[in-house]
Amino acid sequence: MDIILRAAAVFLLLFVVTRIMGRRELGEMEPFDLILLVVLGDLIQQGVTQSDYSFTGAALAVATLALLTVAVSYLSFRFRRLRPLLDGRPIVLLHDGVPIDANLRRERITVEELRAQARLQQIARLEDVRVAVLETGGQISFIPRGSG
Amino acid sequence: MAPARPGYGADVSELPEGLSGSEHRDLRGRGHEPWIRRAVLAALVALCAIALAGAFGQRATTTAAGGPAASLSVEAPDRLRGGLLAQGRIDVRAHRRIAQPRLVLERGWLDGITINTISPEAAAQGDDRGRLVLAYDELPAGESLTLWIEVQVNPTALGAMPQDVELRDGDLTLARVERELVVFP
Repeated sequence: MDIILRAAAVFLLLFVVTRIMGRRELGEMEPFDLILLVVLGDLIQQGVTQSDYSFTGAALAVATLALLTVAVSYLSFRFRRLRPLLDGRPIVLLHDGVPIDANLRRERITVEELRAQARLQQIARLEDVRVAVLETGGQISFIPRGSG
Repeated sequence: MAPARPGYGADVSELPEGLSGSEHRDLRGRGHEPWIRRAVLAALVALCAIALAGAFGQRATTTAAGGPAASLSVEAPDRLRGGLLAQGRIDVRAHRRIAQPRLVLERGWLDGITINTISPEAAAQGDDRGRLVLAYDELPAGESLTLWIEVQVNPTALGAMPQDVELRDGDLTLARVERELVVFP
């Protein structure tokens, strides 16, 4: 059925696009990003189901996307070597209170943004942070000095 | 203990469990990652640029042919995508009297395409080996006939198909325009 092939193609496209967009964009949703995400969903829906308004069509599209999501998750779990490709790898943005400029630049994150993220976690100064890590999900985790 | 990074001094603190200084902080062996991202982004830019140039439709193109008896011109998109509405225009100009004007549309006008309207309506319709034949009333010399065809591409249509148009006077071919329609998914 065409709908399964279209859903699989859209899944692959979305997977590649979200991987290359950078984690920062995905982890931090501003209102504009949220609206864009809804619009994106609508555009994708049209591409997948097109003029098929049937329950069968919807069920096939949902089943295909769900199965592919589980498949990617399983591959990531089962094969360690695939994890960097499928999930990405964390990046240390700050170590011992010193921002790592090259890594920040690579992820398009300014020191001001890093400070703002730290404040959201009740950390007043970056100097008080032992390690800040951009996780694979796009969130930045902060480990204060003196902990761990 | 993570290896000391230039500028960090020897008393650099340990990274959390699961992170290594070389892989996650100094990004050794990961220099290619930004280039992969840039390459994919460049491919997306190229895709948009190609689309802006009209490679995926639906800009109309004109193809014409003529002979001593009549000239024929077809204006329609030659690239479309599933679900799109499109319009085709066929102009016939008679250089001499055409007693039985017939327009023969190749299967690319019909296969995977829903024809919404053809204006003006033909006096009669027929089939010629899978091609649609539209018969019109006599066309005096110097007169012209303009045909408008409104179509919609079926979502399942895909690939290239001939969209030729032939002008006949009865069974005699007066002019033939050769076109190809490409439908993208």
